[in-house]
Amino acid sequence: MNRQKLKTILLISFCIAGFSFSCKDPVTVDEGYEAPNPPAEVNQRNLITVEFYSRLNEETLFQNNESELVVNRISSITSPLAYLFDRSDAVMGQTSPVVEIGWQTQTKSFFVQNTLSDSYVQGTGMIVRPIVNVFEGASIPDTLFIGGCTLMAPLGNPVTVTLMTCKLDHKMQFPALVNILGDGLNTNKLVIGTVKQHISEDMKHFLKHHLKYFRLSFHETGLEGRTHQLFILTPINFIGREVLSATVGTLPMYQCKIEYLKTLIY
Amino acid sequence: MVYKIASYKKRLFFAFFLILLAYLTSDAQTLSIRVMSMNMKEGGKLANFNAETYSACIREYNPDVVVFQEMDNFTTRNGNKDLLSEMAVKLGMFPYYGKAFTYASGDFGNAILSKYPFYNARTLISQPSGAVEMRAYSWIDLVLPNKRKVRIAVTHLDVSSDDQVRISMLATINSNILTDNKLPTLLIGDFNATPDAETMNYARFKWQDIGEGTANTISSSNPTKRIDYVMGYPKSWIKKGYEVVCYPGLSDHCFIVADIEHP
Repeated sequence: MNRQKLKTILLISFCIAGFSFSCKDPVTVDEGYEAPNPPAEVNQRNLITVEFYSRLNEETLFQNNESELVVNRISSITSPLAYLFDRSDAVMGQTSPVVEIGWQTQTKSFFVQNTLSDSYVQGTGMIVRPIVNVFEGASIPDTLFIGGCTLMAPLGNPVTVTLMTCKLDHKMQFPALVNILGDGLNTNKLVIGTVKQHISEDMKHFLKHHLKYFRLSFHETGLEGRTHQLFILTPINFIGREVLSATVGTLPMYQCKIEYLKTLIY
Repeated sequence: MVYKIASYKKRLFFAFFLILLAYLTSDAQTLSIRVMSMNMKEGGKLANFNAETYSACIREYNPDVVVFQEMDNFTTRNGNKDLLSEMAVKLGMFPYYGKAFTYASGDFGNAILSKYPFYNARTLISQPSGAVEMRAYSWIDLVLPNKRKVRIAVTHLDVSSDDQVRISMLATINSNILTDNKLPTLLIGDFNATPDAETMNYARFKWQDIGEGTANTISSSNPTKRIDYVMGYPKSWIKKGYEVVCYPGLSDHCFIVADIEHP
């Protein structure tokens, strides 16, 4: 084979290779789920308010009889759909702070545990006004505890929601969370909880690639010494619009406003 | 060849070790629980709706879970109070109220107190044709400190003279409590039926009468009939202790305190 022939063969091979590569489907990068933008205007008639009490750290919430002021507040301000008390831990056989608040305010109390023990249980208390026929949750010891009440939210048109809470301290909890929520995001499951600060970006990334039709927002607070971040996870027909920081006595409280957007926008 | 056999034996031993380890670390511990059943007789009327009186009785037996029938919630009859939550505060337990119907400006139904937090709770109501009134059945799912899970349900079947009404209620309960349920389950309460009644024959198709052959439960001053039960599903519960205790000053029914296990 002379030199010229070899050149021609090489050139043709190169062209064929180039052509075949250029005709391949473009490589697609899975960017995960992105919720569509919500309406710019907030419909005040469709806002659900939930008060979330939390120190956003590893400390127990009630340390010095702070519950008295909370009792006064719940008795006088009745507009929130529910009141959540992160780390309102309970000692077995002793009065749980959230049960006491429920009794004193003539409301109903629930407790979503976060640890398992026969003596001291960490968890989040929940106070609601009506009698609840469905308190729904999951308990996967050593992995994830999540739970909440099914309630009728008194909006423009009443809407049934399941208001849930959980505490996320490890990345390994994310798959369990997604499994539990599953299609729940299509059945009005709203989750208000806390996630350890250093894994909040991982949470965002994981949900983006393993869940659909949801909205997730994190809320920055100026609280010193915090280790956790507050998050609101809703189906796309809801959106966490605003979180207002306040204190009740010395207890940090976050007033979460979630809007029901009525129509599903996929 | 000798080397290969030795290696095979090593692998086999390792696999056996892993299986043993998995077995030892699995949730193989026995489910052991003390339950108590209390019919409150018109919301606690006999003890003047006094939370401490009932709490003292419960404290004496230190149960893990107490189920109540005929519990009032903010009725004019009970002085507009939440007796269940008040008892929960006194006993350091977690309350769940299941409403059957509206009564005396408040609610009437069943209730549960649990020493451990529960992660699921439901109340459903039923009033089959011929029933005297609407009745509720409620249940909670809880995980015990040894990681064993259990479902505990309370019911108060209708007082109608017709067994078919109670059977119909039980059929509804079975379909709602047992369908897709893998947890060992207890159904406790006032069945308004003696052991030889058709209602209990039907109940025993699915459920184990854990207190079979134990004492009568009504009336509390002169017990002549057994109509309160602790029923178990599946039928593999083990009775470790079963007491029928009577307090005529608290209720017309005797109460049940049962120590039971599920392997």
